[in-house]
Amino acid sequence: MAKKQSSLINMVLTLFVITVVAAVALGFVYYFTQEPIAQVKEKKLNEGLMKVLPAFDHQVAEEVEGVPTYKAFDANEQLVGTAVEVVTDKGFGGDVKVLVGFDTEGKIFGYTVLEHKETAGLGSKMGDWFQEGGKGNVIGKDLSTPAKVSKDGGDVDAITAATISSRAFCDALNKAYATYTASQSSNTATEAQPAAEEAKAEATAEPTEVAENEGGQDNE
Amino acid sequence: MAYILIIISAMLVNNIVLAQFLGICPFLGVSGKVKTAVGMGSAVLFVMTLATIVTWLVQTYILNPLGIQFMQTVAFILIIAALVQMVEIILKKISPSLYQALGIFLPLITTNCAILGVAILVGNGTYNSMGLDATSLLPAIVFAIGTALGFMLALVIFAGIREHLAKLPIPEGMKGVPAALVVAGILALAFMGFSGLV
Amino acid sequence: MKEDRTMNNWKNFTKGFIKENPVLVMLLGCCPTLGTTTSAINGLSMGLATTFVLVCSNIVISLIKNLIPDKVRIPSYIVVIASFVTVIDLLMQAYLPGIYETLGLFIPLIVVNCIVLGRAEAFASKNGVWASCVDGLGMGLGYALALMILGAVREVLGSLSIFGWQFIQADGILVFVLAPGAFFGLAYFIAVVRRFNK
Repeated sequence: MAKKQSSLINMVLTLFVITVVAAVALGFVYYFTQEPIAQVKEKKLNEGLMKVLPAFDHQVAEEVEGVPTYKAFDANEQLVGTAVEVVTDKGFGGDVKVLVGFDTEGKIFGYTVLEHKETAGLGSKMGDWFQEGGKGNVIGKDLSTPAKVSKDGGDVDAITAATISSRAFCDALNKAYATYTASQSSNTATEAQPAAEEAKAEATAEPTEVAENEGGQDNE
Repeated sequence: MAYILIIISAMLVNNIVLAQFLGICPFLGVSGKVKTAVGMGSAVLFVMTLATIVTWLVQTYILNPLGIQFMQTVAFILIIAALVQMVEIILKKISPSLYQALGIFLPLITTNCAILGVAILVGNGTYNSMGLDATSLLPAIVFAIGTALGFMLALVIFAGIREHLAKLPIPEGMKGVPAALVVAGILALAFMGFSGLV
Repeated sequence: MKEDRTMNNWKNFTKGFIKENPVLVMLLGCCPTLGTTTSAINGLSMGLATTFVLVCSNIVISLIKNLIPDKVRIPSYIVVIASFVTVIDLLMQAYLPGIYETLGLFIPLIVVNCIVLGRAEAFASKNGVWASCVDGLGMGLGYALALMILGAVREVLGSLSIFGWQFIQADGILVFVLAPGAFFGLAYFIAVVRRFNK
């Protein structure tokens, strides 16, 4: 087959046809991958929530001051915990996105790092470092006094050689707590009495449970 | 203040060549002399700023409203290729002296992944915007300028070292690119010292 | 005659591994080589993603080469390549989300990887479909192999593990996982391959 001439009409036509074919083909691929991609995202969120919250039956997503918040309930519609998805820009390599779970008392139940661009081998350790059993354990912490790394006079042990990433992590925790408190106050405003009573009832029941939990973890 | 932080962060802390590994080809290819390094750097500064503005407009006013973000890669690379061509033609007509200075570098820029990389980071709003709204235009432009300045800085320092490197006795197998890469590695080490600045 | 052709294909296939290895000998596609080789798995996945794009775009371009007027050759190739990059981008997002996140920006940046456009221009635009396919596969796998080895070396030295398996419970020589280690690793890798190619 002879090579096509480089006349203007030929050139414009070829480019146009190629682009249209490419766009249509991509549209198809996009259409077929859209669902799996959405599923992956949902699965990731659910796995994250299961990691950071006590066992729950279903969750309700809402936005508190523009921050995604997930309230988890058990089968009897009792609130078991609240998870907050926060982004901090104080990270070493850019934004750090953390999902922080609070129990009904406002103590940290768990956390998971969703996205980060921290240095591999240093700041990237934050996924394990602050977990229960990690060196900078923050689980069970009450954030009414803001989290700070020990270098800044706080009581959170920073990741070795990654103070900035650790500061960013503390910043994320504090932001999450602020959102959590805001979500609680909006809650009590709408369904004032019952919620408060529930909280009280659970507050008395909680300490033994926490102790049990900790004992169990130590044995492992 | 935040704008200054964006520039410092993009230029020094997250230097595009030495920390993000974008734009390595021109970095190794043209950085034999300080003069050409300055030329290449200014060409990148010019095109990167322009490309960021145009791709930002396309992303905000065409791709996002139509919900066809998946066409981003195709659209951006075509825009950059067309833009480089246009800049070349316009420069030739308007300012022959500037064209002489930058002209030979322009064709190389289309395949400079730093340009597309910055365009995509800005398009997705995933660059370090220091608390400013990452989806608005001004922080994006400042980020592009900072990144390009960082590229130029790395290129000029590197070229300065390589001018001396040429005169040194180096083992046969390490001559040329390997030696240059070792120098780049040491530079990257030095730039790590900026970490924590912002 | 037939034997000749299989010989030829075999040569086309194997040349990408050592003799004309795109990254180690021709120094193409350095950015992802440095940016994604923090571990063997990451390097390998990046190499395979590039191989996919390389094979597909080589096939399509060798098929349509006669329909494209010479002057718009490059933009047309870029559109074809960008389309396949978007395809692999979407597929990885859907089915390999973990790897997609670690490779991040470098997936869309396959578009500006000089290897892909280089092979399209130098080989696929002049050869038949089958030969182009073999060429793409050989070049791609050679690239993937180089990336995997570099990734493995950096992983072993930097985090004392291989393919994610930690063989000593301790911190490695961190600098090899960080930016400078990428430059040093590639420098010595190129020097070693040069020694063997002599």
